[in-house]
Amino acid sequence: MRNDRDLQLGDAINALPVPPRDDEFMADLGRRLEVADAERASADARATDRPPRPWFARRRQWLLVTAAAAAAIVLGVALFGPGRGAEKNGIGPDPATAAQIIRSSLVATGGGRSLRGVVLSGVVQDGRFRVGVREKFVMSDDGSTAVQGRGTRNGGGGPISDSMPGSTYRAVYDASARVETHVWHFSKPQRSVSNTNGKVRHFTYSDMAFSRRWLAAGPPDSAPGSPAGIPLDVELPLARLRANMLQLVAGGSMSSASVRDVAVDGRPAWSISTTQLAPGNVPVQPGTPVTIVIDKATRLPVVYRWMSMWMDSRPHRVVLELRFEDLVVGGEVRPGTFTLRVPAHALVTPDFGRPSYRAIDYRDAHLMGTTIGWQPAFPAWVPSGFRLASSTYTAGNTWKPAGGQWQPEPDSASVSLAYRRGFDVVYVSSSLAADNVSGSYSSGGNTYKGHFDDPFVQLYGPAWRYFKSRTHDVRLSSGPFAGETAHIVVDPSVLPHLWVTNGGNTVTVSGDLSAADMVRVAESLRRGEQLAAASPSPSQ
Amino acid sequence: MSHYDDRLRALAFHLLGDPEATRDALQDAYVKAYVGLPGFLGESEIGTWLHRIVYTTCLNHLRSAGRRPRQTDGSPDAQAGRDEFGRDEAVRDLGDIVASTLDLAALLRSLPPEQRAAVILVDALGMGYKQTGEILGVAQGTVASRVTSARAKLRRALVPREESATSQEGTEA
Repeated sequence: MRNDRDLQLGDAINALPVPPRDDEFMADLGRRLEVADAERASADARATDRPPRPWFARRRQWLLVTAAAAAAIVLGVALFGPGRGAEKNGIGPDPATAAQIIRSSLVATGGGRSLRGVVLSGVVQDGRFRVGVREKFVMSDDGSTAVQGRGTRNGGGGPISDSMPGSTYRAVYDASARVETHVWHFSKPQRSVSNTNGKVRHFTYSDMAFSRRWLAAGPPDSAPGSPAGIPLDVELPLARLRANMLQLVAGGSMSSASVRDVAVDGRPAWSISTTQLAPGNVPVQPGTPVTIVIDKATRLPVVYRWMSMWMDSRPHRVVLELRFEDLVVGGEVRPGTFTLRVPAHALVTPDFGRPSYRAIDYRDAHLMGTTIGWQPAFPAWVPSGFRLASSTYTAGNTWKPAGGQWQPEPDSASVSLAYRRGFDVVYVSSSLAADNVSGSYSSGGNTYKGHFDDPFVQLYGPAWRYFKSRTHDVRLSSGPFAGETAHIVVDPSVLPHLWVTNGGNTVTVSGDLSAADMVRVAESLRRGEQLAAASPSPSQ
Repeated sequence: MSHYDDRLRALAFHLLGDPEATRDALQDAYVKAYVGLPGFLGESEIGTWLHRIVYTTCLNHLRSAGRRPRQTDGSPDAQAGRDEFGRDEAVRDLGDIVASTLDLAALLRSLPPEQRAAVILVDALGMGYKQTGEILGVAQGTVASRVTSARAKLRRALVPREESATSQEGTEA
């Protein structure tokens, strides 16, 4: 059936280039197979909640579990040959090391188009967890987010929004429209007063709302108003935890980690503690390590605890904790989830003073110099799999922390880019450098001075010095910032980021990428060149 | 036991034509195989079974890609409406394609995926019609028909090269 010409055709097809298997392929595959294991284990766990079944049904379950373990070996050998591939890359039913557990949790929380659950945030005092805020959340892989929260008796600042005891609030961020809307409902009517042209009016309200439009693609460029001034999807606790988990496994900092078997609400879990989030970081105090607890059956995180510096009446160290419940990966997201109607009678606060970020078509990005008066630099490389999801710029003033509050900085402008890979996101921002932006903060009779060079950190005195201690410096070797010192900050209290300035421009690289990849992105920056729409191939 | 990764990678890449899509499809296929292996009853050889999973996964990727708006890649050629070889998409004519390795790749990509898979499995990977039929889920006669159609189109890329090579040899002699 095959003559010489057919054989020649076959040879010609075989001579066509085929991309080789890249280095990350097996690691990614291992993580995906771990998720498959977790889903199987979860299904088995659900099955055990049912009434006892006859012996032959249980025996079949045992056979399936045994077959699953064998599957990894058989498939690994069939695909990659003996001694290579699958088994070496974490494929197996029971990961034992901290890095394997964290990797499987990253996959388990990133394997769908949506993620929902409940997060309780609070502080640990005298060894007890005090819940400040309880929030339900839904996030989609385009960055859209919806949150519904309630302040508890303890009150206090929640991760999304400050919340009064008994008050409820909803917040949504529609990534496609770049619109964020918040609505608060107070259990007791709030009193306020307005003064218009000398006409004083007293009034009460039970609902309050505000909406922000034209948001930047990502931090640190965004609006003043929220505690961190960054969009909801970044501020979401689970997003922050995922960013930190990625740092842990990518940076190879797990050598200091310890793993313990624990039980949370009667379910077996691993408790992983480490004193170092990234190489080069100053280790945190041994007495208050970063701790992540992961459910053994589902590989989903259930507890995240860390020590940070807090400013209220005075700067002090505090142990913060997040608890996750009812996490569901890949569930249905109903239409309208990321839009929010503002009640007609609500007090609507204006979105004053913030710059409007306009979308740039990436094909026109290299022409931006004529629009904003200076030529920003764009990355020629981002990690594998990331695609440009949002590119925005403002030619107007940006806002910087100064004098204890956010103030417009004249003659400034910035370009903000977001690259997404499922739930993972990388932000690159480029702006004119701030000159001598400094200020002070007075509280409790004390005045704290600060120097605000890190665009992500708005802190003063001891708290600022704490974050400074979390910084790891690297000298860049190429790109427009060659020879400059880049500062990498990895800490649970802030989105992992790199920032660098040459006195004229400041660039930040942040999000779900390792410290080494932050440096690589920064060194790939090019001025006046076309913006990449997707990550180049790993070989580039 | 044979090691199939290279063959499966070639099949996926020739079907999808994109390294990233190939990577995604292979990952999906290997996970499917892993999940499904305990239920694999051995009705076919494991290699046939793996090829079928990769083939159906690639078809699903092609179908879902067809439903999505096509994403431009930002290259100057893409912006100007040209294909990856710098030619204007609107005036591309398979008959005008000059013989070269690139042209064979372009011709291969121009085939319907079912024909493409058939000729890759039979002529490039050396499988019989029976095994290919099991992978594609069609009868042997259908495999033969697809392979014949595919060969006729692909030989356009090879014939001029053969003639060119013969001509050069003659000149040197």
